[in-house]
Amino acid sequence: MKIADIFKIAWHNLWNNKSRTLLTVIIVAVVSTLMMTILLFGAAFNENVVDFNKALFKINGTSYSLSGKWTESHNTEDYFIAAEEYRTLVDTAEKYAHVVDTASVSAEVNGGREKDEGGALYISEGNDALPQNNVEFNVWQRNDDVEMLSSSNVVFACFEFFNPAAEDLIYEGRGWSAADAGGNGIWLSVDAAERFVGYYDDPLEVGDTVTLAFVRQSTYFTDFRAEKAVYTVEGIFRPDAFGGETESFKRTECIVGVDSAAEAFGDLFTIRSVSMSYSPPETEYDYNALFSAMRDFADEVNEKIEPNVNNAGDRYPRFVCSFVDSMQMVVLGTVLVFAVASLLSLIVLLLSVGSVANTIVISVDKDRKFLGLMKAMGLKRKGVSRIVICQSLFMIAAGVVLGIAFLYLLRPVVRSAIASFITSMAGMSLPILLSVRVSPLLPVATAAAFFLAAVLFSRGSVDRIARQDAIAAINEVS
Amino acid sequence: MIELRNVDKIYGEGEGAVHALKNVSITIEDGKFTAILGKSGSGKSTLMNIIGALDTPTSGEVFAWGRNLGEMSADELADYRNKTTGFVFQSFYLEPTFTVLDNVAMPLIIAGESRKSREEKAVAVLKKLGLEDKIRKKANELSGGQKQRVSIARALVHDPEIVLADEPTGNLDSQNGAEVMALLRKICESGKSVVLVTHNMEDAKNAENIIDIKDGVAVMRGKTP
Repeated sequence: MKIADIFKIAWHNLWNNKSRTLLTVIIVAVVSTLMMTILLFGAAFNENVVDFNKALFKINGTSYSLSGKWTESHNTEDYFIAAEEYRTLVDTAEKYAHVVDTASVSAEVNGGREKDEGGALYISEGNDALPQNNVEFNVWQRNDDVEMLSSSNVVFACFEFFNPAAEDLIYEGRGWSAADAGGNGIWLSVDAAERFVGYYDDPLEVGDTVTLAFVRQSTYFTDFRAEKAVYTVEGIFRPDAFGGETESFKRTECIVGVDSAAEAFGDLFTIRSVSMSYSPPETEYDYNALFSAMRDFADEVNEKIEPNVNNAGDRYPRFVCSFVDSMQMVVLGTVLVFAVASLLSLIVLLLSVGSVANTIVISVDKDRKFLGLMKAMGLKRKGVSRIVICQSLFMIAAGVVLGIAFLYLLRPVVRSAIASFITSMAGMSLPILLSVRVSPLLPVATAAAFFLAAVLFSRGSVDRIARQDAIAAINEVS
Repeated sequence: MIELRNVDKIYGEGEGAVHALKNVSITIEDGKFTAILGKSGSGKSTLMNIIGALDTPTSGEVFAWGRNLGEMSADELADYRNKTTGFVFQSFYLEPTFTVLDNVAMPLIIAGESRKSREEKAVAVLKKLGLEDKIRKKANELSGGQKQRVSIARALVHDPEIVLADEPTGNLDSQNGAEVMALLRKICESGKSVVLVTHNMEDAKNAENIIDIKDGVAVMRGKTP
């Protein structure tokens, strides 16, 4: 039989059983409305929460962090970043410079003592690095107990705002190892020193030994490149390190290069963590490209460095892009919500499809006489099945279309319900307009699920009708 | 030619089994008008169903133009019915909401013929039967005699080898009955085999060959005097 004739006969059969057909269509419409509402809920949740996080990214940007490798004891307090790992990060970061704005390194120099005894040098190149060993960040400290060569107390040296243009270097920060003999003096600029001194009642004089901590503003990523040839720890300023006297390099605020520190302190120098940040431009940008680059950056670094492994054997990537991480969690969460919505939708379908299939079977059953006569005239089993399936398709398609109309009418209610739910989940008002878009896939998927379920559920009955003998069909007619 | 060899048909099993046909061996000759004559419950409809491949024998063989129907698949039997046989039923079995044209074209629709071709054929056969003015009417708008003529048109539209008519005059008055019998004779004269199932001796007199059937036993006895 030609498809057009199958449609025609299917339509004819449905029309001959108008009330039964209408009942089936209404049941399909109600159930499909419910299914689509649940699925729409899941899809809208997904879309809006993702959009919400994209908006947060636009405002806050992201941070990256490379954490230290745990030692064999798996003690998370005992960790470090190997020099090669740091170098790997720096080299990889250069490749992804378009998604990195600032970087800071938290490192320390243990002056030949046990860590618990203090004696750490903090080199901070950013605003996120936190001091350790009781040195309070953000509070300028003067350590009056410093004894340069033999102190067991914290000897802390800082390097702040080495101004390439400084003419008069006065204060000398001293520190680190007892074996150092004070040879590694750091010269501070006048401006920097005066700023520090301003915090204390007891003014400093030239030649004093001070202990300072400091907070610097953002250190731009260019510092990673610059630090390859910046200051030596001796504090000798080398203008050529900046590639000349250009304004841009003058502005660069690198204190002391990690490489330089590592070279100077050798085994005493330990990098604890590296942090970076990135804020997207205020102009339009390609979110997907940025997200992809941030994710690739994190993945590439993690491929090159060893992960941390706990006693249970669980592996933890050490380089994390906070936004990519949180976005992955968000996506996972929204997928779960969508999966739950789909499951609920499926449950609704399964609970109702029995009655829908039953209605379809009863509707088809009323056509047995006609189908039987057609079988007597040579209609094959598959021909019968096609007509019955076509009837089901008509009813389900009509029901889903009606369901879409119901959904359209209920749209304000659905939108309001979704907004309330997402707002309560987010714990705040959304910074974006809630969008509830109905993808064309939604009704198509609903109709397909309905159709498949209905065909599966009514398969036995349809098969029975298709398989009835020609003589049985004739008897049915009789 | 259709040949039945030692055909038995038993419905049911055990004590309730009904032996509808008993060792039936008959031949339906090509181009002949054959009547199967018997009382109600004698097995004549069962015999017609087996000849028309609507039913299968419990034992024995049925050959239709040399092909053993027992060796055919369900789809092949459906094709056999669709292309080789035309059925005329006592109760017409027209689809009331279809037009006369669609009812007549039904075997061609099932065969998958194009709309143009099948309509041409249906119109041609309806003209032959004097129903050209009823083409667009719904089947339920026709009289009994007209319905049976439409039913005969449906049985002829696909140019079958054999027309099987099961009590075709049973629901008609004598005048319409006579007209239907005349049509069947005409069909036979055009070269087709016609098998008439009837309990009416008068109708059977139109046949060249008569098969008497009683309690499932069939006997060919040639044309009635």
